[in-house]
Amino acid sequence: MKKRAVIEYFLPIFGYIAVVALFAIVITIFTEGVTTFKSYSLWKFLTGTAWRPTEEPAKLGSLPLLVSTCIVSIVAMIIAIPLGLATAIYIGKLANDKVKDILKPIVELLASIPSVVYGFFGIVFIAPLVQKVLHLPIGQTGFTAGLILAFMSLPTIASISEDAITAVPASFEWASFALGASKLETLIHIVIPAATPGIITAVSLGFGRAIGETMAVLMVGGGALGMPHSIFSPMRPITATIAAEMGETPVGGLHYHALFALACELLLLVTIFNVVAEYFHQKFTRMRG
Amino acid sequence: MVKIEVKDLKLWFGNKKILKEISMSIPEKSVLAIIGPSGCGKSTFLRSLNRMNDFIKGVKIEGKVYLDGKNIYSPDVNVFELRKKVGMVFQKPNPFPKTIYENIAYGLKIHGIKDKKMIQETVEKSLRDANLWNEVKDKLFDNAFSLSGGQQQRLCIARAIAIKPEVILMDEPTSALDPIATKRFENLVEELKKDYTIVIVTHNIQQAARVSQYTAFLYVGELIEFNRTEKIFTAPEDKRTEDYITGKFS
Repeated sequence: MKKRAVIEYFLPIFGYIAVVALFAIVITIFTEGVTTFKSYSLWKFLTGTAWRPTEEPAKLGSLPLLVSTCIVSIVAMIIAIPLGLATAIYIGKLANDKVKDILKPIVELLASIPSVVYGFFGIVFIAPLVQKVLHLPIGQTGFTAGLILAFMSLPTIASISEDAITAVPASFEWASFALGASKLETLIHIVIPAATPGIITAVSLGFGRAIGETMAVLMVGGGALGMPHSIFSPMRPITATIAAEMGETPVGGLHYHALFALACELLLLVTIFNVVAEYFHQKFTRMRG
Repeated sequence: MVKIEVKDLKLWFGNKKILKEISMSIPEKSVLAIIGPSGCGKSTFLRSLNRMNDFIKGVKIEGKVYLDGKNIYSPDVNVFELRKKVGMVFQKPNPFPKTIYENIAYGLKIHGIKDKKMIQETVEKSLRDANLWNEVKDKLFDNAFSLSGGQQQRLCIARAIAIKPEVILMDEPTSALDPIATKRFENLVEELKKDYTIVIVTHNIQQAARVSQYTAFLYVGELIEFNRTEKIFTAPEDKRTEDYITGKFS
């Protein structure tokens, strides 16, 4: 009886604590962020192309930062999704048990490497490599940051997609083989479509990691504040900007609030992405019955 | 006419011998029922007729299985073409997580049929032949999982016959169905035998008596008796067959 009381009354409390904490964070960020627009135009914040918060008067155009965030995340996804899926298919369906038992933990271990390590690796090895191979004036660019983010989100995408692929009931495959389909045809037409809801979850988690990543993009993105000319320009995404400037601004000032406004912008972007991902997730889950 | 000739078929999983020197001739356009207690190798035998055992690790197969006089285990056999000729229906209905239409069109597409009109016609004909058309004609693009278990199993039949096989293997196809769905399924088997050679594994002895012309009794990997169904059920030659069909053991 006592045990049950613990389970029934205390466990929900922990659940509520998480929910309350989440709401508290969101509400704080939004109230702090909205304060910006008492003294600065929301329109100028969203569409302005210059972020010079320390000038007099301050210029708080967040568009270049938003564009940078989108560029590095999209570059990361363009690289990480195909590679992650290929890894998942290889581990889940093609590799023999021995190889699988070695590869799967390694991929999962990759997901737990701290981002500063990736950033360090990026500065020391990847940035010079990118500079040399692509003949760029500087190696720290949005593309480089995207590349590092791809490495960071690849294990998440690969590991969760692999779970989804492995979870497809073998009876679907048997049915396909019995119709005379090859392994490849079965994989493409039966297994992957059936695993699509899980793969969408994998991609949204990977994207979440990429778009929210701060340390690595701060280190390898190049830090330029202007509007990026191309993906090979140095740039500074929203996360890196908040991290770099938060410590140097007086609490309660316009710049301080503007950084919260940036956080709101990022939060909204992630929310929109998650809603879209959830929509497709639901759609494909329905197809599965 | 003999459709399938099995000669000295032996099969091992690892060191365990599952099938022991099985030989039989399966006549064309008839229903052969394979009966026997659980674990006697019925399903394994069935899957050796379309080489579905190839996927199982540590399997070793010896002996020959001739389909229209051609050994399906000879190295030059195209196993995909073989499975096109020898279709299969499984124990639990296993439609793909796709629409009813796509479930049937899939087999046609992988065998290179692209003509949309032809696919449409084949989908309709297969569903008609599987006695499912009237129930699904207005919802061809619904998910196959929206169908009942019995309908799903008939969809699996439709899917199998869409690619025009010559033989259909059925592995306890009604074990997950209720009595009414089972009855409908058996009626369907009755009709299908006009065009196809059917081999059906069943746990249900009455079902074997109802649907088959030939019956094979397997016991611990051995073929004990193979004969016309009425002979097996009225005057079995082996004591073990008699004991099994009279329910003395199962």
